[in-house]
Order: sequence, then structure tokens, then C-alpha cells
Amino acid sequence: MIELQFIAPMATVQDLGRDGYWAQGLGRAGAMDALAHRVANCLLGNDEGAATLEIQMTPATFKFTERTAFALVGASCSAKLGERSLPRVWAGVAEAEATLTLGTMGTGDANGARTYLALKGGIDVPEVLGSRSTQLREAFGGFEGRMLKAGDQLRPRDRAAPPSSTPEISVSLPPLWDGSEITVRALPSAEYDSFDADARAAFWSEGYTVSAMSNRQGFRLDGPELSRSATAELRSHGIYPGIVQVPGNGQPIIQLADCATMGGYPKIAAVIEQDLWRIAQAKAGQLIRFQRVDLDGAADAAAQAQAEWSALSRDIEAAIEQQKGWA
Amino acid sequence: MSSKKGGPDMFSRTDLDRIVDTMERCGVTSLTVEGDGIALSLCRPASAAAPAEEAPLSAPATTVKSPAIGTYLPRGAQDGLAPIATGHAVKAGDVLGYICQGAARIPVSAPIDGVLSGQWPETGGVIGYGDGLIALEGK
Repeated sequence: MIELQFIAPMATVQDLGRDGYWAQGLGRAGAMDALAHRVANCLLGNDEGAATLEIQMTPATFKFTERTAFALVGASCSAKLGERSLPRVWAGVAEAEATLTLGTMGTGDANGARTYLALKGGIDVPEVLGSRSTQLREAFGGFEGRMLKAGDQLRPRDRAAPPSSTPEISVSLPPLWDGSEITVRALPSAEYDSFDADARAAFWSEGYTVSAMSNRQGFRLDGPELSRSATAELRSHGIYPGIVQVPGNGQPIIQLADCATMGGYPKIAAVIEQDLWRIAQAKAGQLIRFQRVDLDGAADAAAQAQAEWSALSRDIEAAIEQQKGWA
Repeated sequence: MSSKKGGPDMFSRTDLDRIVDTMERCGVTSLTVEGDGIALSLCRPASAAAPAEEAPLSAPATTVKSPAIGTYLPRGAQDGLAPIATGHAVKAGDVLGYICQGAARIPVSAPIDGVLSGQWPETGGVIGYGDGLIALEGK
């Protein structure tokens, strides 16, 4: 069992999301950085859909009451297990009475904005409507439908004591940065052509800065104004994580995991699913650049991401097996 | 070693260890302590060599060995840890570097507290299981 001695706000239990209820107004929720979430689970031999704790702000202090296997994957956060400094991607075993502390998020060249804590078998919370993700707006799912606070206790679904042969393991993640920027691939969206030519050109060539008004629902970006001649309002329609809306002030908003299911702002583009993790790891003040792709390019990106995931998970499984054999 | 307990323990475990160490260093083979109703007698085998000098102040260097087969990667490459160089002091358990197998990285952890000395392997160099990676001068 892990006791949260201290945790900064906005940490929630998430898995890969609650699909299938969009038509009823219930969004997907789920891990903002699905890649880090999946890697954390893979390092422990979990199903990729096992629930993890998404930590968006630090500091945090966790006390392990018994010997427990765990993984921590995502942004660098000066993680320490007792006196040991851990890399930002790590899985191993905490002994009974050990303390895991997380410090400033996103330090050094690794940077990043979120980290994921995984336990063996996934974090033990009830499954609601097919998922263990937290619906914050609707106040259900995950850990009692809310963010975690000091005094909360987390348990793994697999309670067996980790064997002494459990290896320590890390992984190299795809690089977040493209130089000093984060580049995300996006498809032009339904109202793309209704934007002025200058706006369309600026959207693909200029960078946009993540503003402080950014959270799991969406990131508000600051940059060149995206003007649009058409003045008629749109009727509300379905929207989805990744969609870039442009309200009247001309500043784009990227809809993310906890976005509303419907919206009426014009849409200039949609970021492809495979690059949403990059947005999740962008901090306020970070520059994001949009790279135009078409449907074929998006399909290629999906296929490539799947191939990279297969190779990565295979490497992890092989390394774990080998290390267990040598223990 | 024999002791007769007539009352509370005469020496703690730590005290006894220190007494035995001192006997070894000084070449003493027999020691008897008597007190109120308590007697402690320690005897070392006569053939044990008694070093004339004090034990050296620093322990010999420990070699950090590779925990896996793979290629070497130093720490500090986008892993959220600062790079470390020879001369740097580390604590037992600190991650010193990694042995890579594809995308997987097996962390190499310091076996003891100490100061790094010697030369790191080349980044990307092939490392065998048990190969020496770097030396740690214990404190």
C-alpha cells in the first residue's frame, strides 16, 4: 500500500480512457501522455490499459508501507527513492518503509510537464463504464472521482510481494524536442478554408506559445492572430481531443483529454493522436509548432507509431526476461 | 569466546566487534575482563597474523560491474539526471549509467558509497555481463 504523504493538486488516476459514450456527452478522459502511461505499465508487465497515477504538479511524497514494485515514467522531476536519485523513466522495487519524493517538474534538458506512477496490475480503483479514468467534471471514476490529496492510499491490483528477481529497468523515450521547440503534426480541419490566407500561412509557419491557461481540458496558445472573414456562427457540433479551435480573439485552443464533447468555435486543424503526448509534456511558455500533414501522412504516422511501440515493448519484455534469468 | 552472565550484558555487540578489531590490529591473542559476577574471555587463534601497522585508512577500489550484456550509455542523456564525471562522489544505489538493449536500458547502480575513478567505457561500446565499467574508491 502507498500512502500519499503530500501531493500537489491535479493528480488523477487515469487509464487509456473511457470510450463509447461521446454521443451521451461523456468525454474520453484518460492519460494526457498515453505513451508514458503505456511505457510505465509495460515496465511492470501490466496490460497497457492498467490504471496509473497521472501527476501534473509536484512536489509529492509517497510512503510505501510494504515492499512494492513501481514504475515512474515521464518528465524529469528530481525523483528520489530514499537517497537514490532516479532517472525520469524507471521501474524497480521500493522496500517497506521507503519514501519516494518528487521535486521540481521538468528540470534540465529532459524537461516535460507530467509523470506517471504505475503499480503492479494497475492502481486498484473500481472500473466504471469500462474504464478506471477519472471524469473530473462529472466527479466519477478513477480515485473517488476526484484528484488525489494527502492521506489517500493507493494499492496495486496485484498484491503479491515482488520477487527478489525483479529487475530495475529504464527505457529511452522518443525525443520530445525538435531543437528548442515541440513540433506536432496536424490535419487541416473542417473550417480551415474559411480562415484568411495570412492566418493559414501563419498557423503552419509560426510557433504558438502555451499559455498559463492550460489544463487537461485544453491548452490556450498565444501567437499570431488567426483571422477569419466569415462571421456566421457555427452550430455546436462534436469535437475531440486534438482539435484546434479558434474563438473570436484569434488565439487557438487545442482540445485535450478532458475537453467538452461539443463546441461551436471554428476549427482550423486537428493534431494527430500520435502527437498528443508531446502537447501533454509541454509546459507554459513552451513553443509549439504545427506541421501540416494530410490523411495519408496521418495514416503513416499511426503505422509508424505502432511499429515503434511494438519494437519498444518487445525490447522491454526481452530485457526483463533476461535480467530475471540472471538474478 | 565465553562469558558468564550474572547480570546485564557487559558489552554490546558493537563493543565486542571493536574489541576484536583492536585485538587483531595489535596482535593480541587473549583478553580476559572480569567484573561484578561477570567474566569475559576472548581468544584468537595463535596462528593469526598480527599486522604491525594500523589498517589502511581508505578501502581498496571496488569495480562497478555490468549487470547485463549490451551497449554502454552514460547517465545525463535526457534521463533527468545530471551527468557525472570521474572524481564525483556517489551514494550506494545511485544510477551511474546504463547498459542498453535496443530501447531498454538496464541501470548500473553504485554498489557502495564512493568516489568515481578511472575511465568510463565509450558510449555505444559493447559490454559483457560482469565486465568492469568504472572504479569506486570507497570512503
